[in-house]
Amino acid sequence: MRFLVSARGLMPHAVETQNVVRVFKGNHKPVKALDKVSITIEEGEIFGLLGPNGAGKTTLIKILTTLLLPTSGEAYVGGFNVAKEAHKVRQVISLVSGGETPGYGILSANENLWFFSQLYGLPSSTAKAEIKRLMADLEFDEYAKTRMSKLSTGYKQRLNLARGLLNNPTILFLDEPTLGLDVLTSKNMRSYIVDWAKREKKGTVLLTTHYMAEADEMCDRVAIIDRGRILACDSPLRLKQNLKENVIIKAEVSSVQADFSFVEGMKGVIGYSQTRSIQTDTTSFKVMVTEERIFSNIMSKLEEQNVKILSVNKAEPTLEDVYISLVGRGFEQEEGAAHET
Amino acid sequence: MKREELVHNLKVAYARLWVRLKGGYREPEWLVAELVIPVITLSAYVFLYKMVNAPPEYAGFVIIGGTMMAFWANVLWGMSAQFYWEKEVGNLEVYLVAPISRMAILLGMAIGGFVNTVLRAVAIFIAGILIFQVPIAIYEPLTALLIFFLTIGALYALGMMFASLFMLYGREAWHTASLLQEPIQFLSGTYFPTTSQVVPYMVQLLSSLIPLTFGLDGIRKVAILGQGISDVWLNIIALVVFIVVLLPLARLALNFMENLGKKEGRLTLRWQ
Amino acid sequence: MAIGTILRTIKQAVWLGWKVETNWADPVVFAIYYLIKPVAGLLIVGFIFLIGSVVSGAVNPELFMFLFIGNSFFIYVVQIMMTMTMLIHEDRAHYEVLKHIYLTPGSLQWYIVGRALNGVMNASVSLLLTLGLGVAVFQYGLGIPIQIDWLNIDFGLLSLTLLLGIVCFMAIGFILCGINIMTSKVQFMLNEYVSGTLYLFGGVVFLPELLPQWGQHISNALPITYFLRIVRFSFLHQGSFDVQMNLLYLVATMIATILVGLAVFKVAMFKARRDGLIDKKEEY
Repeated sequence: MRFLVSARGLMPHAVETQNVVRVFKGNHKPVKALDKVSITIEEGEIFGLLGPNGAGKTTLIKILTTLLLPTSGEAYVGGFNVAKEAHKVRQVISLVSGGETPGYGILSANENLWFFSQLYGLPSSTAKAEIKRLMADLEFDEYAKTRMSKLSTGYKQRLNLARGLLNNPTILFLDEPTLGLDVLTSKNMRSYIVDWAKREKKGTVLLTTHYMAEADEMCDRVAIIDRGRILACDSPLRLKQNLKENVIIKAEVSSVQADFSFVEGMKGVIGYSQTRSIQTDTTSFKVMVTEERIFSNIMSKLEEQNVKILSVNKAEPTLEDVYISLVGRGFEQEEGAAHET
Repeated sequence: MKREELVHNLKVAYARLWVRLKGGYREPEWLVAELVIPVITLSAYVFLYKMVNAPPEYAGFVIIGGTMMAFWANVLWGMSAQFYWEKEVGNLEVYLVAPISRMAILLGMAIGGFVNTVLRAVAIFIAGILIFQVPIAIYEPLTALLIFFLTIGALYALGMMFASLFMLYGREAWHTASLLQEPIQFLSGTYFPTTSQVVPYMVQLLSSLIPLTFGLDGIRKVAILGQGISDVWLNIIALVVFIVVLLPLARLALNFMENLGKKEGRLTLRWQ
Repeated sequence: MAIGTILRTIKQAVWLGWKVETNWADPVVFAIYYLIKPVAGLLIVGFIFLIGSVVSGAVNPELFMFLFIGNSFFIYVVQIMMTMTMLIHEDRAHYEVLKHIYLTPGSLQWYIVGRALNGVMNASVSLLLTLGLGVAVFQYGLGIPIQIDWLNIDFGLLSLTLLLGIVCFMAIGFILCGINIMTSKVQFMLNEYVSGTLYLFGGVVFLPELLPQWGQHISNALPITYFLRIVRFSFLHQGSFDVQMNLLYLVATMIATILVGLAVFKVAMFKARRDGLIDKKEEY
C-alpha cells in the first residue's frame, strides 16, 4: 500500500499512476495506447480524463479497474497496486461504462440489482433497502419490476449507474457515462454523480469523457489525453486561464465546402477546429491566434474560396480551446483522423 | 480463504444460482425444446437398433445416453459458453471488477444448471422408457445414485475448466465446443457400449480420457443390466479421480486465462 | 429486379458468408472442422449399426449402405438449416447489419440465398470428405463392404436430385428465417427441431417402414424422403425403383415447400416492418 503525507495525516492517493505504458499487439506493428501516463487523484476529487476516441482513456480505466495489466509502470488505486493487489482494489471500486448495460434481460431491474449487490456480499435486507433508495433517487422506481430487456436506453443507463453505486464504492470509475443519452437524461445523471461525490459520500470519481461541457461542468481537475499521452492536467478554470493571453475567434461562413486547413502552419496560429453543417450549408470555424491581426490574414485568404462570412465573434476560452492549443486541432479532426487510419 | 470471504463467495454462488433458476423458469419454450429435441434424435437411434434387430436393452442404452447428454449440453452451453455470453453483454466485466472468486460464479451456474437440467433429464428418461418400453433393472438404487452424482461432479468440473477457455477465446472456443459435440458423443459411447469387441482398441483408449464414458458405462450397468457395486467399482474410482484432478485444474486454468487476458488485453473484447 | 443485381447480391453474400465463417480460424483448422463433425456423426450411427448387428448375429451390408448414403447426404440439411437459422440472429444482433442489407437495392431474399449457397458449398466439401473417410474406416478398417460402383454412379440423376433437394431445403430455411425475424433467441432450438424432425422421419438412417403408421404419413409428406431415395438409387441402382414417380413427388413437395417458405417469409417481413423488428436487439 502506498501512502502520501498530507495535511490529513498519512493518506493514500485515491489513484496514482507512475509512467504507465500499455502496448497492444497491432495488425502490422505494436500500438502504444498509453505512453508514460502519470497522474494522481486525491480522495473526494472528481477527476476527468478528456480526449477524443482512441486517446487511451478506456485503456487507463481498464488498467485501474484491474481488467488489464500495464505493460510497464505502476498504478495504485486506494493505495493498492492494481497488478499485485487486484483483489483489494476490487473491494473499494466500482465501474460504470456508458453504452453498456450489464445484467440479464429476463430479470427485472430490481432482481438484477439484487444479484449485483450479492457480488459485494451485501446482506439481503440492506441490499433491498439500498436498491429501493437508489431507484427512487435515480427516478426509475416505477420500473422496478420491469424486465431489463424492456427498459429504454436511458433507464438502462440509470440501472447501470445504480449498480455501480450499490456497493458504496470509495472510488467510482465512469467510462463515458452519458454516451448515447439524451440531453436531459445526461444532465440529470451528471448532477446526480456530482451530488453523490460531493454531498453524500465524499467518494472519488474518475470520469472519462469526450464531451467538453461534461468535463467542465463536473470535474475538479481535468487531464487532457491524446494518443496515449497526458498533455495537461489542472482545474478546468486554470487550464482555460492559461489561454487568456491568446485570442480566440469564432466565425461562421456560408458554405459547407469552406476549408480552413490552410491555416495549419501559418505564423501566429496556435490551432483551429472546424465543424460542417450539411443541413444549413455552413461551416463553423474556431481559431486560436497569438494576435488579433493574424485573423485578418486568415479572412483575406478565405475570400479566395468565394464564401460569405456570416458572423465573426471573439470567444472566451473553453476546454476545447485548451485541447486545440495543445494538439493544434479540434476533436472533430482528431476523430476524423482516427477513423481514417 | 477466510471465513467471511467464504460466506461472501457462497452468497455469490447462491445469487448466480438464483438467476439461473429464474431464467430457466421464465423461458418455458426452452423447457419444451430441451425435452422434445433430444427425444427426436434418440428415437432415430432407437429405430436404428430396431432395424438391425438388437435386443431391447440397447434402446435403453440410447435413452441413458440421451439423458446424460442433457447434462453434458448444459455443462458445455449453459455454463462454459455462458461466460462467452456474459462477456458479450458486459457482465463478465462486472464479475471481474467485483471482489469475488470466479469459481463462485461457476459454482452457482453449475448448481443452477444442474437443477434445471434434472427436470429435463428425468422427462427425457421417462419419455424414452415409456415410448420405447425399455426394460429397467435397478437393484442397487444407491449405487445408481452414487454413479450418477459422481458423473455429474466430473462433468461440471470439466465444464468449469472449459469456462476459462470461453472467457478468453470466445468465438474460437464456441466453435471448438460445437466441433467436439459429435466426437465426444462418439468417443464416450453415448449411444453404444464402448466396451463392445467391435470398438477398436484406440477408440477405447481415447474414450477412457473422458469422464462421461465411465459415468455412462456405470449407469448402463446399474440401471439397465441390473448389475451392482461390485461391477462398477472401477467406474467409481475413475470418476473420483477425474473430480479430484479437474477441480483444482479448473481453478488454475481460470486464474491463468484471466491473467493472460489481462496481459493481452482480450478479456473484455467482444465478438472476436 | 435486374438479373445483374440479383447475381451481384448472391455473389456478395457468398463471399460474406465465407468470410464470417472462416475468419475465426486458419484454413487448416477450418478444414478439420468441416471434416470432424460429419465424420463423427457417421461413426456414431455406423457403430450403433455395427454393434447392434453383431449382437443380433448378422451384419447386412445393404442396410449399411442405406444409412451410409442417407447420413452422408443429410449434411446438406444440417448445413443449410444451420446457416439459414443463424444468419438472421448473427446479422441482426451481433453484426447489426441486417437493417443495412434490408435497405440496399439487392433484396434480402437473394442475400439469404447467397448465404445459404455458402452452406451448400461447405456441405459439398464435407460430403466428399465424409464419403472418403467413411469408406476408409468402414470398408478398410472394419471390413463392411461398401457396395458402390464409383465409376457407375448416375451423375446426371444425382445432380438433378441435388439441385431439387437444395432448393427444397432452402425453402424450409426461408420458413426458419421468417420465424427468426419475428422472434428472438429461438434460432438454436428451431434448427434442432427441424433438422431432428427431418432426420427422424426422412428415412435418413433407418427404413421409414419401421415408423408407426402416422410417422410413415409424415415421412411421405417430406421432400427429403424422396430426395434420399433417388440419391441412393443414383449410387446403388437397386432393382424395381420408380425414379420418375419419386422425382415427381420430390418436385411436388418442393413446390409446396417453396410456396409455404415464401409466404412465411413475406408475412415475417411485413410484421418486421410493422413492429420494428428488423434491427431488434437481443438480450440474455
